[in-house]
Amino acid sequence: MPIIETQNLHFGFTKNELVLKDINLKIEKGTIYGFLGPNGAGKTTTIRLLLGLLIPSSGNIQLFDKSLATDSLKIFQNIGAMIETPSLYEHLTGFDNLQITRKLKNISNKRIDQVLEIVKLTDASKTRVKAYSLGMKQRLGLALSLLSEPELLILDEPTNGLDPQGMIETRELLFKLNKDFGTTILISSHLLSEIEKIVTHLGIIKKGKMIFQGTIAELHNLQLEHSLIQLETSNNEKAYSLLNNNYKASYNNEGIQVIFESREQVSHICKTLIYAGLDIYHFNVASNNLEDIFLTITKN
Amino acid sequence: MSAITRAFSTETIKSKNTFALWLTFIGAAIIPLTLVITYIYNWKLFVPEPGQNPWEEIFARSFNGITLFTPLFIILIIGLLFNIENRANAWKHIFVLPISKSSFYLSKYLFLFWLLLIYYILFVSLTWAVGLFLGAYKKELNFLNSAPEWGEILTYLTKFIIGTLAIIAIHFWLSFRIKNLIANLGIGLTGIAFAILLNGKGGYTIYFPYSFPIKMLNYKPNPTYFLEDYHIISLFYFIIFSCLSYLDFTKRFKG
Repeated sequence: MPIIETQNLHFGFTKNELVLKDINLKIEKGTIYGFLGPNGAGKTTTIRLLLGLLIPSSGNIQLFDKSLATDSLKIFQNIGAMIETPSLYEHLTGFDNLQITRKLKNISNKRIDQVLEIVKLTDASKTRVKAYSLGMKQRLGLALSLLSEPELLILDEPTNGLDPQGMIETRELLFKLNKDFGTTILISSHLLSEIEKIVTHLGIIKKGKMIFQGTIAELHNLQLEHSLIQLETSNNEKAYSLLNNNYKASYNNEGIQVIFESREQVSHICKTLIYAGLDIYHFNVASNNLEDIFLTITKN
Repeated sequence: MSAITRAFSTETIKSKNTFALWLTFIGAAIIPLTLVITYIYNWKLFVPEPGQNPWEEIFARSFNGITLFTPLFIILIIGLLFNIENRANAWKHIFVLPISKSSFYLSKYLFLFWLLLIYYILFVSLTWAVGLFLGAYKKELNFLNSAPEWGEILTYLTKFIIGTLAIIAIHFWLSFRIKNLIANLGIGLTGIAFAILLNGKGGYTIYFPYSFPIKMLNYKPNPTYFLEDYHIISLFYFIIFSCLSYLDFTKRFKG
């Protein structure tokens, strides 16, 4: 059973202009789902829709197999969320901020100490939030979302503004929550490199449309499809006919493009051309990493 | 604990270290403190005639003071209460908590009335304390040999509070819809300025909510009716605007 499922979700701030088109998200229990896309692609809007902060123009949203439109309070019992910057009362201490959310969620007082320990803010809990650094505020925001030991964490760009150490710590914390407590996590980012180490599944959105959804392994397959060699030889026509027997190759004025799937194939392509007596003028192995793939599919 | 009680208790935490809380105490003290200065410097003017109760004079002056000051105080305090949420960008957090919008709306309204209750109780207590102090300071003022007419004071306050209900409901709605505190104050100040210019008088001022409290300047109770026309209209506005803002907050407002 998916924890989050949307069907044909459309949304527009005005009737005529849709900013989200046909979003079909499916997030299974226990996964860490990375929601990726360039700035302005519609990530935050989608998350706001998932949390009922915006009303969809059409389509369905289901969380925990319940309709968000009718069962939002039951659904919110099991959710911890942080959207963009954390919502903090800066004139109050970190402890007071947690106390407010604790009371509204009606949970035990001792949980405050536990989450402060988790985000390493115990010593700063009696300091007013306006004296906190950006990283501390972000960690306090995370503590707020962890208070109710939620089954589902929805985090919109949680590492924004954090230094590299802060990013690593946040990643480790999320990984631990998922591993130790089975927390399902939806985390959005505009940088694949920021989350690729912890996510199990990915959804990529661009200009309000989902352009990829699947596992990291499926994205790796996509990576192989996009790995190609660009080459130019003393006789491109001959080279093309030699390579086209074994590889997916194309030939145009700029040279030959050959898609490969392994490093061994790169070596084989090279040898084939040399043994045929061809001079190689240009041999460019464009082996895309996941970031390149992400950039490629969000550009094109 | 019910959701409203829990939400109300969070309002008390949120108000810590805020200007809204200080304003409640300072606002209640301004008029009584002004009276201390007035009486001390001109005490001979306030020596009562034989048989006259000096408490009537001091409370009448005190009430005239809050008649002008309280509408501004109400507008400011409501703006500040919602500004706590706006500054923290808190709506997106609050609305994804397992607490209904109705509970949150009602707890906020209740907390506002709680602050206003503190304000009025402090105001009356301080005016009384000022009278006792002045009585000790100048025996001729005769405060210590007489007592305030508590029944009349309560009646006046009840009518005055009813007169302010329309402004409360309107600004409660405006303050979550218009996030800019200055804009809210601007609307309120314009309304109060018009009401003062009209001196609360004129054919249509009974429909103009900002003039209702001003109409209670030098108030003489109507021997026939407990409530004046404008009190009833204020109550009507309060019910209508509260219902509309409740529906807007719970059904449409997304923060």
